[in-house]
Formats: sequence, C-alpha cells, structure tokens
Amino acid sequence: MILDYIILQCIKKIKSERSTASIFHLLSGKRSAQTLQDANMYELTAYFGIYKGMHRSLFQQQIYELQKKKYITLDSQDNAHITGDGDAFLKKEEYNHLIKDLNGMEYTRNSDLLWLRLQLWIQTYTNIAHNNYFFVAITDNKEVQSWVKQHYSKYNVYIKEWLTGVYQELEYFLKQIDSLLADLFVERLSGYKKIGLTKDQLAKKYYVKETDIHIYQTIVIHKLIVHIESNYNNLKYIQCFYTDINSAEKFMTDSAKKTNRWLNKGFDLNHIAKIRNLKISTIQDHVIEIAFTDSDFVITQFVEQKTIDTIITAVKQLDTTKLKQIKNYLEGRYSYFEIRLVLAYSKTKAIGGE
Amino acid sequence: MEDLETLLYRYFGFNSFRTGQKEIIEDVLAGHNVLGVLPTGSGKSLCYQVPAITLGGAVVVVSPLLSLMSDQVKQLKARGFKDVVAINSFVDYKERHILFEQLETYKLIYVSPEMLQNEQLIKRLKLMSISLFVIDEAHCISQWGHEFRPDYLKLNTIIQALKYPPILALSATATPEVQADIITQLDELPFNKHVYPMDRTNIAFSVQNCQSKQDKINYLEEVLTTFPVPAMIYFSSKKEAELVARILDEKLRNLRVSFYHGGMDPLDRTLIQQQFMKDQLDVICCTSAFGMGIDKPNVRLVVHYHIPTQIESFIQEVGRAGRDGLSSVSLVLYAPFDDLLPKRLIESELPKEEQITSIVNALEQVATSDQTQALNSHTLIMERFEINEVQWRFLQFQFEKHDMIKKNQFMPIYNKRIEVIESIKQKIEERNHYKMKKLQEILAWVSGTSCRREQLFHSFQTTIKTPDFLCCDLCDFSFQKWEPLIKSSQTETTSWELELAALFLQQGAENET
Ligand SMILES: Nc1ncnc2c1ncn2[C@@H]1O[C@H](COP(=O)(O)OP(=O)(O)O)[C@@H](O)[C@H]1O
Ligand SMILES: [Zn+2]
Repeated sequence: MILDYIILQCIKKIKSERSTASIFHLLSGKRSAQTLQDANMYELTAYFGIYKGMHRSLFQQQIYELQKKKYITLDSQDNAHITGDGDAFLKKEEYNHLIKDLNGMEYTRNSDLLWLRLQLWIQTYTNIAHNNYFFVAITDNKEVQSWVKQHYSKYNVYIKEWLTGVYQELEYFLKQIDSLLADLFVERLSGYKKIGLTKDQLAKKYYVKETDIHIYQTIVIHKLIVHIESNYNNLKYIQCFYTDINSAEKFMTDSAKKTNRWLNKGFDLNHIAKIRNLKISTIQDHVIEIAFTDSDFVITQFVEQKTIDTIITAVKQLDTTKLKQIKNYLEGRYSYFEIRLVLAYSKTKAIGGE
Repeated sequence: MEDLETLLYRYFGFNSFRTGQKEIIEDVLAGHNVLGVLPTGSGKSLCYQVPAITLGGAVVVVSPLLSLMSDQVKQLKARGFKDVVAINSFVDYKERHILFEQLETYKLIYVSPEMLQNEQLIKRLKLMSISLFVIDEAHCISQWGHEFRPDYLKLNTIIQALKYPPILALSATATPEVQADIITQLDELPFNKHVYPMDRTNIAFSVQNCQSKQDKINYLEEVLTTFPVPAMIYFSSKKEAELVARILDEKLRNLRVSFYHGGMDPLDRTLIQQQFMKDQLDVICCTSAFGMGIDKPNVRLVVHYHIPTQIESFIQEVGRAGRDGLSSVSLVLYAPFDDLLPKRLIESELPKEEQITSIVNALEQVATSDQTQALNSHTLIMERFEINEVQWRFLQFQFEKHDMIKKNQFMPIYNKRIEVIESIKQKIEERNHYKMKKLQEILAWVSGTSCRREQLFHSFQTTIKTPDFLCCDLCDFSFQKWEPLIKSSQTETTSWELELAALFLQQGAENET
C-alpha cells in the first residue's frame, strides 16, 4: 500500500506531463539527465532510488492495480492521470510520518552502504563474541567486507564494549520509530544462531506486501541517517558506520564537486559549461575526476555501453592505457574524452581485491 | 612433519578423517595419480586441501562449478587459509591481470575449465611448480558422463604442457564405464583407483504414483503432517517450487516452509540456505540449484516432486538425506505425463538441428568479412538465434573442433561447409539419443518391480549393502513403519526488543522473559 501511495503521489505531482516509465526510472534511481531533471523539477527528489533493482514488470503490475482500483487512468501516451478516488486515497492514508524522512537523492547510495555495513558488522561481531569464526557472510560486497575487517582489526579487544554500545544506541533509535519498522529491521538482521528473514518471509509474517517491505526498509535506514546526523555528538558507536561513507566527494576538487552537483540535477555538459562559464574541456576533466573517485558514477550517460565494451576490448588486446595508441587502433572513432572516461571507469571497477 | 590427524584438526577443526579421505591423501602425497569416486558429501575437497597445505608448490583445481568455487574460497579464507584464489569468468580482466602477475604467491588455485584456455594463464602456470593437478567433477570429461563438458577434453593437453604433474581426479558419480573413460581421456596414465560405494544404508526408497498435481500435494501434506521432519522437495520448475511452497506453508502450520531457486536474489538465497542449515526452516521446495556445498546432517526426507533427467543426479540429490546416519527416506512422486518435463529440459540443452545451417552460414559471413565485429559475435549469435549459454558452449566446442574458431577468431571453412554442418547435426542427434536413453533408465527405475535399492545402484557397484533400517517400498518399506527422529520445532513469538537483546547477548534478554 505504501508503494501505491508513493507512486500515486508521483503521478499527482507529475501532472500527466511524463509517462509512467519516468516514475519507474525515478524509483529505481536511474542516473540519467532526464530522470534527475524530472526529480528536481517535480519535487520528487525524496523518492529517487528508494526502490533499486525493481523489475519493470513489477512496476507495471503496480500501475495496473492502481488502474483497476480506479485511482488512475492511462492515456494513449502512457501518461497517468489521477482520479477523484485516487485523490481521496492520498488524503485518507496516513503515511506522512513514515515518508517524511525519505531523502533519496541525498541518501540513496549511502543508505545501501550503511545498511550493509551494519548487517555484516552485527553478523561478524555477534559470531566472534561466541568464538564462532565460520559463518557465511551475508554480503559479497568487497568494500563492505574490508570495512568490517578494518573495524575488527582496530577494535577486536573491545568486542563486548562495542556490542553493548551499538545495542544501546540502536535500541534507543528503534524505540522512537513505528514498531512495525522496528520489527522489520530486527527480523532482517543475521547474527550468531539467528539468520535474518527474507523479504518474502517478512511479508508473510507481518501481512505486508513484499514490495512494501522494500520501501519500509529504505525508510528505516533513511530515518537512521537522519537520527545519526542530528545526534552526531551523542552517538559514540553507530555514527562510525556512517561518518566515512560520505567520502566520495571528499576526494574531489571543489570545482569538480560543483560540476557533480549540476550533473545530479540533470544538466548536460554544455549546459554546465555555460552556467559555470568554463570551457567544455574543463567540465570534461571534472567528469573524469568524478568517475575516478566515485565508483558508483554511471558513465553510460556519456558513452554507450557498446562503446564501453569496444574500448575495453581494445585496451585488453593492446594491453596498454596509452590514449593515442588506443585511439589509433579504433581508427579515431572515439574521442579522447570517451576513451579516458572508460579507462577511469574500468579502474574503479577493478579495485577492491583482498 | 606433524601427522595428518593433527593437521586436520589444526586447519579444519575435524577430529578424524572420513571414509576414503586418508587413503586418497596418502596416495596423493606419495606422488601417485589418483582417481577417487566418493559419494556427495563425503568430503572430497579435503582430499586436495590437505595436500595444498603440506606439499610445496601450488595445487591447481579445475572445477566447473563457479558458485561452489567461490564458496570454498570463502570458507577457506574464513579458516585462515589465505593463499587461495579462484580464477573464472567472474573476475574482470583488470583484476585477472593482477592475479596472473602474482600467481606464484598462491598455494591453492581454483580455475574454471574455460579459463584454462587462456594462454597467458598457461604461460604463468608453466613457470610455477605444480605439485598437484586436481580435476573436480571428473565425470565431465567423459562423453558418457551425465554432465559432459567439452572443455574438459582439452585437459590432457594442459597436463602435457605442465609436464605431467600428479593428477587427482574426483567424482561423486562415475560408473565403471565412465571411470575407464576418464582414464582413457587422460592419456591412459597409470592411476590408483579409490572407489567407494554409493549406496547409503540409512536411506529407504519409495515411489508413490499420483494422479495429478493436486494428488501430489495432498500426499505431501499427509506425509509431512504425520512426520514433521526436515525435508527437501526437488522441482524442475521454479514456478512450481514457489507455488507448492506457498500451499504447504498455508496448510502445515507447525512447519516452516520456504522455497529456493536460481532466480532469487543472492542475499535471499544465502539467507534461506543458512536458515535451513540452522534449523530455522523445516521444509524447502527447491530446484537442483539448491544443495551444492550444503551439508545439513539431519535432512530426514528428500522428495522428488519432479524426476531429474538421469539416475546420477537423482543419486546425488538423494544423498543429501540422513548425513548423520539416522533413518531417512527418499520419496519420488510420479504422475502420468511426468516424463514430458525432463524431455523438454533435455531438448533445451542442445541447439536444434534446423538451426545449425543458418548459424554456420552466419559465422562464415563474419569470418570472411569484418573481423572487428567478431569480438562480440558470441552474444550476437546467442541473441539472434535465441540459443542459451549451454547450447553455445556446445556449438563453440564443435566450431573449434572443425577449425571454424581459432584463438577466438572466426575462420572461413569454404567448401567444407556441408560436411561440417552434417557432422554437427549428427553429434546433436547422438547426444540427444544418449540423454533420452539416460532418461529411460530413470523412468524404468520409477516403474520397476524389484528392489529399488538394487536397481538404482547395480550399475555403479557389484554388491549392495544391507540397509540399517528399511529397504524400499517394493521390499519392506511403508510410511506406517517409518520411525524417524522427530524434534518439535517451536515457533516462538517475541518482540523486537527481546530479539535484539538476545542477538547482542545483553543480560536483560533472559531476565525479561
Ligand atoms: N573429516 C571430516 N570430518 C568432518 N567433516 C568433514 C570432514 N571432511 C569434510 N567434512 C565436511 O563435509 C562437508 C562436505 O564436504 P565437501 O568436500 O563439500 O563434499 P563433497 O565435495 O564430497 O560433496 C563439508 O562441510 C566439509 O567441511
Ligand atoms: Zn528393496
């Protein structure tokens, strides 16, 4: 129901000026210029990327159901219009207290990382506290694994203290939120002799739709981030799961940071160059820099996947990173910017070994 | 040097070797080529993990199971064995490059058979001292094995290139026919064979004829109501596994039922697997994707809601029951037309004969024109002709055999075309014929009229052990006589406060209850 509510709200705000596909892209967090622009223009940044990995068919089903309930109608361009019933539903349902802390545009990347770190950390520390060193990690994410490893090597003599600290701070936080959210959060955790429930299992147990479980989970983590940010000095333990996350930007020059923010608003390179009164080549340099520092940066907004594959194949075959050589080999079909960008991209993908 | 038992305890935490392990390890350490056939779950991987610790030089393990590979690497790393690495297509080329550079620093190297075609890798390996070359799932080398992998046929050239290091070939399902073939394919080198019987004396066999799906579900409900035991139910279809899991979960309120298949997201898969391992789940409706590397001791009942395509898979799957030696049951549910699903599966494993001509023609065109396009041809062909990964692997091997692919480049074959097309078509027919024959075997077993245990194992071994409990439905078994160990599973309801406290081992947890 909460997903219905959110989709309906998007439809209302978009005022039938965009197709429903744009809402799908918004919720699944597609970093294309169009989607970013839409999110800003229609004031839907809060919902950006709150349902990553959603299947298109699932979204389509959702739209279909809204239609069946007569909350919306679809026109021939696949643009949705909200009906009187739909409006009434929006007014009647009380989800505001749940939704108010959502901040997708700002948190989407960080919240995934925070949540994974918390889960793996809890799994690791509770097991080790029982002297159990053999367990199957709940995530394969190398970045997260190495973060937990580092934490452990730093604090392994204070395990009890950390467990108590994290426990108390989490309990304090969970007491302040809706009890359903707290239930879902705790049930999902894995640890010593306790394996978390899947979304499907949670849905069954709490009589909530599986799609809504996903939204609720996002909400809890966003609330946790808000909680950490506003109680920074009082939280000795859980703030450390979050402080260093926001660091992708830390390593960028100030000028690149600015370009990055414009990109996040959905502006294209020419536009940014004009606004910032800089040469396009400078903006391109920023893009390369961003691609280097932010492993989540999506470069397909600048080069097609096919081009990426071709360039990577060429790099592989030539076994070089010399730009000129690559460019010549590809018979000048791609610009230096494209080649540099692909190189930067493939570099961030290759790191993260043991 | 410390003795093997001490080492076993120190590195793996086990007190003693299981049947066959020590014999094989000693033979391997003595430098012999060894062929080991041991049932699933008997601990085959230990047979090379121990030598990897004691032998100087590196141990190379060829394994077709990518997921298992990374699982084992993970587990070994968890146990403090760091010099281990897996090289397969999941490793991207940059990372691969780095791995190759430092290859000498690893003691245990898992590789997929495809990766062994990489010349750079072979070059590196040649520079190293390889103390043992392990062929996991060795039956894949045999055309008569149920999971023939063309890549495996090239292993002998690689062994040659590496100057014949000692070989350890391992399999859980190899008939004497397949065992002989494995040795033939490995250039008839001298092998010490260690073959252990497949039959497990604590598992009884039963086949139940049903009229319909509904009938199967009713029967399952009845059995699981009478015997609320840890159970695995195998399906050939993901959808049906989910559906039946939901129905059973509704109906069997005192059992926790869930499903597992390859289409689920990886985290959910890990969670379900772990819940089952830790007895948080009782019944799991799954496809064959479930179970590899799973070692749950107390599975009491393995049901086949659908039959697999050959006896070998069936034996492997049934082998997950009763690892702890207690009385367990294999139950097959068979309804009219149940032979259609495996037939369809078999068909999907090879391209259609009609497709061959057009695919060969298309490739010929690529070969004689723009070679830069050839780089991406695999995916293009797979998309254009709607063939899947497995089908492409088969074709690729055929094309290589006929010199249409050399070093990843497509070569023109000109007037040999007709001949090649015919030869590939014939291969397809042969393979299909062979697989249908295997299917007939299991169908015959299902409708058999004499002792199921004997029928099931007679092609693998000459003598059948006497069962510890009951034998089969054609001898003495019926569910009325079954007396499995039943533990009541309590589904306790608590609050998140209590659960969180318990998880974090806080004092309050016990006091508050
Ligand atoms: N000697 C032993 N004692 C106890 N457990 C063992 C021993 N050897 C292996 N195991 C365990 O048995 C399980 C199955 O081992 P594995 O090598 O995966 O089996 P296989 O490959 O034969 O199916 C693993 O969990 C492994 O840790
Ligand atoms: Zn019998």
